[in-house]
Amino acid sequence: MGFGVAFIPVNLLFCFIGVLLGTLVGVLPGIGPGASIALLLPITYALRPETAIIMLAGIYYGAQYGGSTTSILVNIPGEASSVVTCLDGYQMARRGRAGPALGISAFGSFIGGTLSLIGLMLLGPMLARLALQFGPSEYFSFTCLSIIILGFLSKGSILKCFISALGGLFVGLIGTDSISGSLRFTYGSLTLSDGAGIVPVVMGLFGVAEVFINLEQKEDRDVFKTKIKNIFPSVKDWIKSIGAIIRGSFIGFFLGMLPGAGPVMASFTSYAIEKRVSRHPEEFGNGAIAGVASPESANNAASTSSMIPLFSLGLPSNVIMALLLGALMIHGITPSPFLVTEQPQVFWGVISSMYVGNVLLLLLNLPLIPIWVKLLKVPYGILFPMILLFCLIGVYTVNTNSYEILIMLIFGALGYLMRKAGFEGAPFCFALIIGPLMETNLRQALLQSRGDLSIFFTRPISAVVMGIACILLILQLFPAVQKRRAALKDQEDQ
Amino acid sequence: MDRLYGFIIFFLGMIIFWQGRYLDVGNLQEPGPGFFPILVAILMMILSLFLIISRRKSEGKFFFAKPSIHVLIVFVVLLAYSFTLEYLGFIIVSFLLMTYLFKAFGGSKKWRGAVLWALASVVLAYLLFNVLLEGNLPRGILGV
Repeated sequence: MGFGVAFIPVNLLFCFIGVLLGTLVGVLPGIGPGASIALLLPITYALRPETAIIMLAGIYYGAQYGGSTTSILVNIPGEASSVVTCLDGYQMARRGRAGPALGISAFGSFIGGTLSLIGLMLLGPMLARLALQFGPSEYFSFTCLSIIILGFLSKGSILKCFISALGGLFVGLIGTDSISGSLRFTYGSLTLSDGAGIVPVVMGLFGVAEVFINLEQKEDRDVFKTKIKNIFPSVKDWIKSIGAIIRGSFIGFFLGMLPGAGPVMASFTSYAIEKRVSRHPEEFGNGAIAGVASPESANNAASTSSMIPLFSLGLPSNVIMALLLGALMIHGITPSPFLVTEQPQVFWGVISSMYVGNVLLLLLNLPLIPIWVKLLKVPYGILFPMILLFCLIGVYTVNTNSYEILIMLIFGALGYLMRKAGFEGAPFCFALIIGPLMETNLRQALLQSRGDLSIFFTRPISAVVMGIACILLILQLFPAVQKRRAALKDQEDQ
Repeated sequence: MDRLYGFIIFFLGMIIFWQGRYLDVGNLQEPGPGFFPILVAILMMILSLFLIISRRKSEGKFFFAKPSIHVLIVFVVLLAYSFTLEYLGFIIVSFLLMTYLFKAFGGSKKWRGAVLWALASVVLAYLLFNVLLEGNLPRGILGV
């Protein structure tokens, strides 16, 4: 049934547009799937819900394909999830092996994405059935877990990460309280009574702030000048990479599902594990093809599996999923365990379109690489003004409200200052979106239990989740874990 | 530097706490709209205290020199854009903005190039957002 939906011409078209945009956005450093999805949210109003998600999802996993192109050719990651690919990918390019690197990256991404998709297909409905037993206390515990896992992911100080998240929680409170109807922190502004808005804030923090940061740094991009021959990896390459691809896919699949984790964590972890498992660990960092295959499969697997919590439970596992949640709500669909049965065309339609999308991406990424390379040569001076313009207009068209442009600019400035001070934007955005969910469930759980806080620890599922959250929280504070994070960060900085 | 940030965050937390007292906090049995904000404010103040007393060395990479004046100028210009957009209309204001931006970002070394690029991008954006996507870009004094 799903393929029936996926092959409707409209959906095919938007799937193609989505993956194309995704690759584009992935290739271009500085603009990411988050900002672009936020930008395109207004456009999806006119589409059917499944078409909208098909396109937006396409942008997300498409970006995982595209991000590796710049990593390999220019040593600048197009996306955070392609940072690790720089390590070996660029080295391969320097040795004249850019072609096979790009090739195995595309194939690895394809295999990772497809395997993960099969997992999604099998696991999704099962999880949805399990989730029917979830109550507010379980949901609250999951949201707590997500926020705590954010700490593992942060590049800088964990303390600042959590403070950032608290900031996001606060901004998420601005507006009308859903339970009591009272206005919070709106100071008489009509615009604010609807909340600060996901679109203005995310576009400000990720889009505008990014442009501001880049304004300061004049980065030189040396696009690699060798001719790219032989995109198809040799048999020897395949033999070396197939293990990495399979391992990467599994790691990505599991890490993608975890709230707060996702493609970035998956790519790092997969690379680290691959290096440990390899018979020639010294090759890593010098052009080991497994070092390209592994993270690329992982990040695609993760981006696909990160849709599982959203579609089975209605809980977004990262910022992008939160945006997709927003898109679904725009269409009047509140994702929940009932989504699979009540809106099968959304669930199965999106899944089958993802199969199609992965194939399209494989085609797009192999022969079209020279085009992407040319695109990289567009000077930043042209690119960034246009990005700004699109941000400005995009935000305006959501509610035809120029105050939302103001909100976006304020958060753009905030994002810029935060970045300079060492506070990250991602925890802020994630908390912004998950905050209302957290609060509603907390209040409902307390209402149910009549003020008994122990409910979070006595209901079995909730207790387990809370337990894991507490353990992870304490783990993060140990010096041993901190050292490992610092080591990973150093690898990334090189 | 971290200490300064800690103080700022503490101050912010205090403001939230203070402003939030108008909201009904309720109690554990019936949490009101003020419950979560107070919680957030308290946590913020606690964490910022940790930041104030922390002895960690600041990570070199994140601390650039002072914020660039360029960024401030661009920010002010963008603010001006948001305020004049609905009065003067999309086309004029965007054209002016883009001309400035292309010059400021170094996309074009001379004003003539910037003007041309600005023209092209505004036309493109207009076609894309107003015509193709049927958006509602403000008409302003040109009436378009």
